[in-house]
Amino acid sequence: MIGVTTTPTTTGGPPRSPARRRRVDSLLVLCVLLIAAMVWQDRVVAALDAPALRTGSTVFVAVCVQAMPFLALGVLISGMIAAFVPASALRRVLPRNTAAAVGVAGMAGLALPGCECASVPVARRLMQQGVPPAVALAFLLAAPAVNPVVLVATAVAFPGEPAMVLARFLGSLATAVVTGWLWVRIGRAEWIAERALRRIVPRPGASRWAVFAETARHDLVEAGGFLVLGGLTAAVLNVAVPASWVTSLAGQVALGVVVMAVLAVVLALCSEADAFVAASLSALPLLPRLVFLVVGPAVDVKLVALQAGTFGRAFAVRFAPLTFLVAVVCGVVAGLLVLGGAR
Amino acid sequence: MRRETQNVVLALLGGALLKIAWNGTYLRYVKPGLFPWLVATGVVMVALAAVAIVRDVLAARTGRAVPAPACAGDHPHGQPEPSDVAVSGETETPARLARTEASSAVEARTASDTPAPEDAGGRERDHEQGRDHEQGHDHEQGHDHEQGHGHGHGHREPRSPWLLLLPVLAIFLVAPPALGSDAVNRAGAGNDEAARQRSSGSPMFPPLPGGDAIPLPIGEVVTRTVWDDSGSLDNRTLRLTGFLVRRDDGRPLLARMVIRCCAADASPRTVLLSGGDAQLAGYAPDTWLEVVGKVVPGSGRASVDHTPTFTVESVRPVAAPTDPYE
Repeated sequence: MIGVTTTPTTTGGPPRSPARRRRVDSLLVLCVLLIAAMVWQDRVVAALDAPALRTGSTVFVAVCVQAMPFLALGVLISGMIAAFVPASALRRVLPRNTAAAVGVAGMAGLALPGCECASVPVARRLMQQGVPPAVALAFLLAAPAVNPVVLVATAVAFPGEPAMVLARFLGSLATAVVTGWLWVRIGRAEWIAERALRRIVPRPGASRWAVFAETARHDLVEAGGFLVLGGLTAAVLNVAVPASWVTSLAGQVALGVVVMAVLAVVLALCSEADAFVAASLSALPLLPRLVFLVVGPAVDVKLVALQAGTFGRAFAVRFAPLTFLVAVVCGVVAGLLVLGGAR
Repeated sequence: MRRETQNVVLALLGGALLKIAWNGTYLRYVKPGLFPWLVATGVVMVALAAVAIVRDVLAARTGRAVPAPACAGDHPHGQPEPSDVAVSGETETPARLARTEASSAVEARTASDTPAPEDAGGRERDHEQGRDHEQGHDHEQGHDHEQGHGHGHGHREPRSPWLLLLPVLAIFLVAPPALGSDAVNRAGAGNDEAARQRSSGSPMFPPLPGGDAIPLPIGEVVTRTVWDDSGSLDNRTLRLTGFLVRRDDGRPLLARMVIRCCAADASPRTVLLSGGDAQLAGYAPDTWLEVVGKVVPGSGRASVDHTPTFTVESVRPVAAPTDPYE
């Protein structure tokens, strides 16, 4: 109840004066920016001519180009949910018991064949339609990690190790479900920014398709910016982290687990590609590489940027470390059980 | 960024994706298989922007100030934008600081709450949270509307869409090249990934086609030297296409990058060029070359990071292939 009275003070800032905002129009700024970029194109290109910057800019564009289709898929699904799936339908499908619903949501992750960028806007709309946050978050974590495309990719990348696929599936599913259960216990509604749950209220006469188009456009524009931020971070780290760090870890399982977990966060690979990267790090035992595969889809820099933008910073600073810890533990346990040791 | 500008940026981004799909430069960044997805995404972005623009124009014509669902659904009114994630080292505004303080006060309060008892309690609390939440939500909306409409234009515009300009500018103005020698040198020593790949796959290699100067991918040269004990490459003249790389110590390599998904996960495939120093002297790193020669049998050992030695017979510069990756 206190939450009701405090929320406005936590979110309401003094409104800016209309006069001041009129002066700098964003459309004008955009035009000036574009013209400036065209006029000084040669200088910009020349400034980026250092080899490291060239490699970094290629990786940056690559991450953006690779992830945009998945984000677009995600916002289309999110628009569909907002426009066509009434909250009552979701409530009927999910078990009443939140803890049971978390498990269902984890298994539902099998159905969305995309990578992590697609699941963030979808989870947001699920919350908006009255799905408990813990359940939507379990779906958010499970969808990119346990879907068939990712599991097949893992099987292809580790041809001699079918146990790796099972270990990854169990580790990732456990991460999603355990995090969901923990969120039921410790999560607080006010950590999630109010804007994430704002429902689009169509005026009378607005068609469902209008709601769909507007929701998708809005999600794409906002989340897209954070995806770009994440891509930028990943590109910088991709170029800055020397590959020799990893190969020097051969034989040190405990340290390897920690380093590979951190590497999964900073590299921000697509969950459909990370298995191949993990397979290539043949100097390391299987266990650290499994942890890499379990942590990557659950938490990485571009995902944290996306979540902070979608659900708010207060949410992201709690959710990211929580998921990281849970994913490392689940990965190690799944590895010890399924792979039978560090190997 | 206001709504109209967002739409322009969204259309630009969609256009950028369509452009790289159209002129084939998307192959510098991703696999050929992404082509239909890329086109679809570009079309979706342009279409969403166009629909929003058309609706805005129609709404303006019929005299409605704001298009129907936009008001409630568009950017949050009177509350911090998503960009409070420290987009670019901006200084904290007083309003933002006040907000952070207030929210930590809330945390302090909630932290001191008595912990809920076991199972049933947890569920109950969940319900309560939900209710709290719902009411907070309603209240908040009322508050916003009051603010938004009371001041005529109390919207605070999200700043994160500005970041969408970065890939647009990068694609239209810079058009970053495919990964080259810098990426090879950055990736470390050798062909460990290629070497690993075959270790558990099928040990059988199909026989090479007959004839002279057989074109072969560098990745296959590596796997065959490392894993094929039948010596299928011995005394065969091969034609390899790749770009020139100079190691720090000046050794020349011929290389191709291999990508699985996008350039962020690329790994190199390399052969060491020997005996062609005079012919290679005139070429700068990253020059695309077609090199004819023979693999030194048994040269791709683990001690040299699975990098086979390739004896150069002739070198000729070629145009970069459409798909720079193997």
